[in-house]
Amino acid sequence: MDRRVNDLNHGYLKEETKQKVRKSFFHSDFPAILLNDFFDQGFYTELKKKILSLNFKRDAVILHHSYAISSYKITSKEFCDFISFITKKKIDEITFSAYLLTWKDYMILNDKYLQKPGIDVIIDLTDNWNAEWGGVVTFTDGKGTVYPVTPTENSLAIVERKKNLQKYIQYINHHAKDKKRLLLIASI
Amino acid sequence: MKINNWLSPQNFSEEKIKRYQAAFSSNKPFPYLELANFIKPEKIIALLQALNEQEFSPKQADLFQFLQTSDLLYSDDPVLKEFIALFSSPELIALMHDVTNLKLNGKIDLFASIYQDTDFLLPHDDQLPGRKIAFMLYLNDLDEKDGGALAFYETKNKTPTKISKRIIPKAGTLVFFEVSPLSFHTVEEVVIDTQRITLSGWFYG
Repeated sequence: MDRRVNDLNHGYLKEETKQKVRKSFFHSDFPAILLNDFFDQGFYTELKKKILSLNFKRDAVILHHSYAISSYKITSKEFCDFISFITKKKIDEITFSAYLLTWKDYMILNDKYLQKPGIDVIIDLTDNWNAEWGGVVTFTDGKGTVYPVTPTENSLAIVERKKNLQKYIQYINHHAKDKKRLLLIASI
Repeated sequence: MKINNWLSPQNFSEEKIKRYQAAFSSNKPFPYLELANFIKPEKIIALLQALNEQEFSPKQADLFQFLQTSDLLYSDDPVLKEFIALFSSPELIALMHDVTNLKLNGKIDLFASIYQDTDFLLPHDDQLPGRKIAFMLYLNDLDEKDGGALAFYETKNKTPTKISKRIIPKAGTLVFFEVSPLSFHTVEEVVIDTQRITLSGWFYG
């Protein structure tokens, strides 16, 4: 019997918290927020289970990326309402690219794969990941400004990519052994 | 600058240079040459001692992670100055021209790099205006299982497809290749607690 009440951690459903998060997101030179313990634990566990059961396909374009990829649509009203509130965009559903990365995988910058300005929504589904293993989603303007998104299980990052801001995923090194980096990333 | 102070003259006889020419132009997946024992062993030791006094800074971006010096052309170290004089000398430039048939102007860049555990350089072609030949001189040995190999990619429609050549670092070996739209290469991740020490740079033309 499913006893889950909320999709999100109830703390993020409070009006006061949402206002603070939105203010923090918009009133910054670099609009970005990272919210830990974002989903209700039950929802997070179910989401992770669903993502791991997806049919991932290996995809390697040597000068841009190496990973396994699939896609997944989140239609949770609570989640979409939250994203709508923070970003001031009307969102009814978000289709994410699901990335599964292991040792030797990466996503690097390439002029042929420039990302248009937008808002990136990143859900980290990797438990107990050590940033020293690589695999960190990193934003850069190519002029020295670098914003690494700290890998944290059950976290949500929202980053506004203005002109010239691009993201990459650090090469995963051998210390990761057989561990898998699992991320959902969407641009809205 | 006496080139023979650094290099063994028997490695650069007319006959050997002809062999180098043939090997350079026929090597796959793109023109390159690997010259073992390029410099004398005592000079390797002198270079390592000189580099021990240099400052190495961490370099980290999407494409790479390693330690590197600033441009050594501005170093005051007498051994490094001598090495730079060697690589900029008319004799060595003429040798590189003879082997590669590429027109060079005598200008070089030179850096020292150290790759340690988890350091890497992902695939790229090295192309920048004026760069004609990329070179790297290995100053220590690694085993195949250590990682740190220089790997060359086959290409299809000027896009890298798969690694077809790996060069394992060996002290004193000089590797150089023509910089071109096909010269895709990588330095594979170092996977043990060691150091891969090189002097590397480009000949310009």
